[in-house]
Amino acid sequence: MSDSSNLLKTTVNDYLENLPESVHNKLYQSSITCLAIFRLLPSLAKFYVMSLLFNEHSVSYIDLTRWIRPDNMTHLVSSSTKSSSSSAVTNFPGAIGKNKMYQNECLKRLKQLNLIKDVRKQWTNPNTGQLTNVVVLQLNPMFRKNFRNALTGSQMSNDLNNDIEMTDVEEVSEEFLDRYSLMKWENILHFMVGSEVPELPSIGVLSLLRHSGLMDIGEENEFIATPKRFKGDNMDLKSMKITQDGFQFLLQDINAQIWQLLLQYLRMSEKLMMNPVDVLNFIFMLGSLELGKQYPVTLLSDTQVIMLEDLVDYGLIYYPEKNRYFYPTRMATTLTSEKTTFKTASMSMNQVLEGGPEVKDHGSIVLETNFKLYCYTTSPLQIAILNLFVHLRTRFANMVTGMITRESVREALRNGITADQIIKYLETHAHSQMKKLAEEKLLKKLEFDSNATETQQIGSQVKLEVIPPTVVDQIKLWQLEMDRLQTFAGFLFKDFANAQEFEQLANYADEVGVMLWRDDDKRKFFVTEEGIGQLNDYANRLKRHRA
Amino acid sequence: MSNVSGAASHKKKNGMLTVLEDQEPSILQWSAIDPSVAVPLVKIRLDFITSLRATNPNSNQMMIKVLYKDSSGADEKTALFSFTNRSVMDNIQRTLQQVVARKKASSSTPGATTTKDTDAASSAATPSSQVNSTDKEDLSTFLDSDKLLKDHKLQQKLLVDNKTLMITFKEAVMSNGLDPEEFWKTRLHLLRSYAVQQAQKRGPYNVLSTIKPVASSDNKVNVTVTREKIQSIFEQYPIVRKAYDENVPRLNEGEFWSRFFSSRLFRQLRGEPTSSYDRADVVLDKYLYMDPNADEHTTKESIEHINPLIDVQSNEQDNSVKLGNAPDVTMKVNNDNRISGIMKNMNRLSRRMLANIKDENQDKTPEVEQLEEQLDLRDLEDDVELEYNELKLQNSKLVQNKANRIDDRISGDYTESIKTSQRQFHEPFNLTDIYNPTTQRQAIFDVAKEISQIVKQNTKQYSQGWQAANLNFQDSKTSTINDVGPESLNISTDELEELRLTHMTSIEFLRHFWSHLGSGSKDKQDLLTLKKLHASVSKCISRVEAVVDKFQDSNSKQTVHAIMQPLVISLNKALAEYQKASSAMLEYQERVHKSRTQTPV
Amino acid sequence: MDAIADRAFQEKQHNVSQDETPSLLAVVIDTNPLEWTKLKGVICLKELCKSVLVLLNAHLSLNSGNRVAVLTSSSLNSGPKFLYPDPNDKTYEKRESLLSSDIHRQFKFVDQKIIQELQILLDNEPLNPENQELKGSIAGAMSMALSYINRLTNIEPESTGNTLRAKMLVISISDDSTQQYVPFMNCIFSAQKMKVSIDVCKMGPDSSFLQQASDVTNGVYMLIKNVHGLIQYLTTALFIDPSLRPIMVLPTNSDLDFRASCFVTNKVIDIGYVCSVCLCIFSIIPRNNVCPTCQSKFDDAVVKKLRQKPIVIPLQKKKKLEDGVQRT
Repeated sequence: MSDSSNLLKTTVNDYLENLPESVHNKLYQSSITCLAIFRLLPSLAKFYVMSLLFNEHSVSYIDLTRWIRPDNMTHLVSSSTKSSSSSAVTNFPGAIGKNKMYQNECLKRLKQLNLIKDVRKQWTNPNTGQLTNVVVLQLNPMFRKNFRNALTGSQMSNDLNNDIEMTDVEEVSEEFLDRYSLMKWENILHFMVGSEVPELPSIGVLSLLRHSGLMDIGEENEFIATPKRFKGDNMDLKSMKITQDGFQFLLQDINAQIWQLLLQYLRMSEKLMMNPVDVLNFIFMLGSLELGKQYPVTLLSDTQVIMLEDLVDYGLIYYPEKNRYFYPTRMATTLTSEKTTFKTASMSMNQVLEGGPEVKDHGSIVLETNFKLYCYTTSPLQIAILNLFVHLRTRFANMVTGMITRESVREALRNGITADQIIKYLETHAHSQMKKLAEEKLLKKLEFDSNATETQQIGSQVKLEVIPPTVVDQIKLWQLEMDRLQTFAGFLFKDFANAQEFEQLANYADEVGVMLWRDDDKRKFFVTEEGIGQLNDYANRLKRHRA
Repeated sequence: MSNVSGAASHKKKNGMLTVLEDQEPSILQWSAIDPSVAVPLVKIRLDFITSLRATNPNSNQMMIKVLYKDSSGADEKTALFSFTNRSVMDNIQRTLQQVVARKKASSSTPGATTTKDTDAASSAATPSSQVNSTDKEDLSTFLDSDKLLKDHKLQQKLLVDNKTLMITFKEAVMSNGLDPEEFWKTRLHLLRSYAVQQAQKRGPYNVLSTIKPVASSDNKVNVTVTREKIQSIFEQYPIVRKAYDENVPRLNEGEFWSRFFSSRLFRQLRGEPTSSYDRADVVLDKYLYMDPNADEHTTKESIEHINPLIDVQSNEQDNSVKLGNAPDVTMKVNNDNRISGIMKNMNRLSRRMLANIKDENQDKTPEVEQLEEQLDLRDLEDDVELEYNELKLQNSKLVQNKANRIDDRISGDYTESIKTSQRQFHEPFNLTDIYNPTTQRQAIFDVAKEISQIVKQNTKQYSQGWQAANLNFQDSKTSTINDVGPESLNISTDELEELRLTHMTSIEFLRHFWSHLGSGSKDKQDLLTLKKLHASVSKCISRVEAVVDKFQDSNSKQTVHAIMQPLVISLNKALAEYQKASSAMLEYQERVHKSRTQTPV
Repeated sequence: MDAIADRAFQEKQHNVSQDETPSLLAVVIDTNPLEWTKLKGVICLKELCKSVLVLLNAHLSLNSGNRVAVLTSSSLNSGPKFLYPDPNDKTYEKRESLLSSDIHRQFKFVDQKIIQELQILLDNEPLNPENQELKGSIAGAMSMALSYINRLTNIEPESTGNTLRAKMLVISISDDSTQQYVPFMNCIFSAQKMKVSIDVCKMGPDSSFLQQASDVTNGVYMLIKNVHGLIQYLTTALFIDPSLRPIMVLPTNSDLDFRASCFVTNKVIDIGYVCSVCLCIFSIIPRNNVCPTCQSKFDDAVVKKLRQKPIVIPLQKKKKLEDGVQRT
């Protein structure tokens, strides 16, 4: 499932969308950034951009929206009202089909990124001579120019690749870079999990972790009475504890994790008066560099040089000699890739660390319906992560086995990990054999159930189930178990003078729908926070009546 | 067959109701316990029973009402029996139902009890030992089309099961005069598969395992037993039969069975371990200790006795080197060993069940067959003609295609253009050319408009609801293709149904018409049929027109006309063909007539 | 194993908006030199090539996992050929994964390779076409493309776990060849089975084969009217991603006539004869009792029977009789 990549996308997109227009326009001056941002768009948005790219005239809104199939509204009607003689289209007020919603969402995002601007024009109908208001859409000209340049291979101004000179400095091998980046990265993760680390991450990383809410300075430290201690001390940072968000972070895949940290870095950098355009451009450019090649530092702006040093801490850059050359690592070059290609990259990274032959299912998990779990891994990090929600029992030379138990899942839930995250983690790391079995089962189901079709609009019940449904359901049930209490904030009404008053107010609250609980014997009732206003008005009206 | 009986009261007097099928004629008999009652004996001939009614299983009363004709065959009398024991009532009711159903349905052979019995009451088709004789007959029935055509019962059953077929049949045959034989001639395949389906039998299985005592609410345990099941129990467990034969005149049947099902014997036969907690039934448990093999005369024949000294196969199994000197746990002399007891039971049961199946090839063992094959003098047999269809495959490379050859005329052009292309490809590529020049810009704009136009057009098709793609979007569980019509056509479902019916009937007639026209047979009968069909086809046209006229004044006139138009065209075409053939025939006849009347010079 | 009971939780439905599977675009270019000669003045191969290259770059820019393949269909010198990827290059796949992040370099690599290969192809064409025969066909190139697609979408994902969707674009300039009917139909049915949509960019005459191809596979058939705006056609109408196809209106402008027509006379018929071997339809029984498509011999007896005029009891003109009985 691409949920974590969607999460990544939404966070990156949120950040980008909140930038002002001027920043956008500056961003679009770099064709690499244009491409990177283009790749982050949803599919329909990409289609719209392409259709507007070469057409320099503006296009009417209607023309663009016509591309989407009109929703078949019958599937929105509940089954109880369906009967063969009723009309097919039921237009209940405000009914919007899924397609239309998706379309609106895409257009909205394009507008927020300032890729599209809508303009109202007055247009004279040649037949009737009437003036009508027509909405037309225009593509951002800066974006258009640079994206077109990218596609036609002309004018690659920001590209460092043009100016590579072979120097006498030895090129660093890919394996070394992989190992180096992985070491740095896992260092951070190990620190978060709480296992022993040979070397603590740098102060910059630690403060970033703190500011992003992934780790927090524990409260215990405050009780240690040392007069000279105050918050923000470096000693405190080194003894941070992981938070709920941190746990969730651990379960995501590498790409999402790096991006989350980078975004946090972006936010912090704004406070430090670093030019966000430069920062973003650099990040996107990193995604386009080639692994194993060295790039001279001279081509970067000042801001970007500062960034270089920071990024070394994350394992994105290898920067052995200051002010000469830097090498992007695999983590950097796959920044802007889609999830699927990245998985192979991360797998190759894992493999490098182990130093073993390429095992294609390294780090993959096999899950049985009896909740037993087998994971082919030797990476202590992955084992530590698994330990968060799996009761690990045995460790072999190339594998760990364990069981998903109620206790282990509850432990994870208590730490703030949600059931969905556990499930997504299991799905992303599922063994290829499990995926194959699931696909076969799906095919059989589809063949057998000839009524099911491919289109998603029906909401076909058949979908690819990689993890056994029993396990998925059970984990969700365990999560529900934790939520035994549901709390509402509101107002309690009690001590009524007489029954009549109570009845009036209580019935009114019932009718309006804000009532949460009532006890007629004790003459008390509880309304929601929002309802208090209405109730007060009503009560005042009553008083005035009586008075 | 044993008789089913149970305690029942008739006209407020207690007594015993028995179904006596063995007697000729078979009767339903009720005898009062107290002989001094006004009507001590009621006898109803089973043949004369017209219908049977029973109270609802949910109601408290348990009564069976039997309607029967008097011996004179005139009046319909009723007899009401009320019961106290529901299982007894069910038992009797089921028996009576079967009997009635059997009497009503056409019984094939007297021996076959279950083969053609599709009665709903005897839901579990239990094995019958007399299957063999009817097997062969059935097979040939299925393959013979004539027999199928004559088997009206089968046809009726098929119609009842298949609604659409029934509708077509009604319209075409009953309302509009299509010959039923015609109708079935084109549907032989349906009949055949249906007949085979109906004749499916279930193989023998261990009946006892299907009998599960159900605990009812008031501390009673109910067991559902049908006659067939009882019969098969007797077959599979002769010891039960022995017990029954010895005990039933004494005990009554219901009591026997209830005691049997709660006894240890039952549990042991089922293979369940018996513990001392089970209720021991004095009478029936005697049989626990009897030798179950006493009745087995079949098994001894099939087991060959080989001298253990030379029995290689058994020595392989009883390998003393591996397994030690003590015999295998199943071979030990140990009477109440549970495990071996169960195993022996099961083996005995399986042996018995298999013995009951008579295979037609059973006499011939594989060795005999082989021998026969070897003895066959194949040279004396006729040559078998190989029938095959020859497929001619072409190697496309070898096929000369004129279009691919280069004409002299364009040869010059070709050379020039190829030279130009070669040159062009050596020049640099500037990809911005596709959009930069003004001609391109304008063209792109025009193209975008054009595409927009097409999209507009295609969208309309989607929303009209006629696109097949749209049909897929509907949830096929709650709506069918039939639902697409009414909404967009402004025709009510009923009217649409009527149109559909007319259409279906006309298609049916057309089908028969064309198959006869194309058959080219000269048989007088066939020609007459063809003529009749021709008349029917013209009637079809008038019917269609009549139906269309109904919509004359409504606003959906156009659509209805459009819908029925293709049908009308094909009907007219059929008529025209006939007309053509007919005029050709007339001409031919005239010519023949002329040549005959012309006297040769 | 089948579920014992209903799921306790309903899973969220698959959303189009979340579908990020990469896709493979296979482009088949009709390089029949004779046809290109006919198009002189309208468009030249180089121009088409430029638009195709930009299209490929656009496709690659959609998703870092997207891939392309380009094939040519026919020439005087050789049959269908892979322009990209080079079938002889074993290191191709490694290089692809390296380049997917560096978009510009990937574009350059792909573009240059295609241009290079086309150059070689053209250079190898004989200048003197005397007695030369055209080798290869569109159906052949389509089959090659489909096999490549099959390898990448079915066989490879089993080992690497990356799913890939595929679609095909056929750029054709020639007319239909009845010779190619059977292999062509085989192609489109297998494309249908593999769920590969075939989009068609048609220049020159209309082609009913290609219309059928796009119709059967849920593709777009585009007859190019304005050649200078080719890029707009390619990046809009013929660019719909497989994941978007279920929700978009396809701008296909084909006018397929689905009625049956005779193979011999090309007339639309409603009653006719069918060859039981190749299932082709005739309105008349062909001479020599041989099927023109598959060359199988028809049984003489059956043909004789079919040729007979139907025998009926003639209808005489209705004479109005008082009892209204029609005389037979």
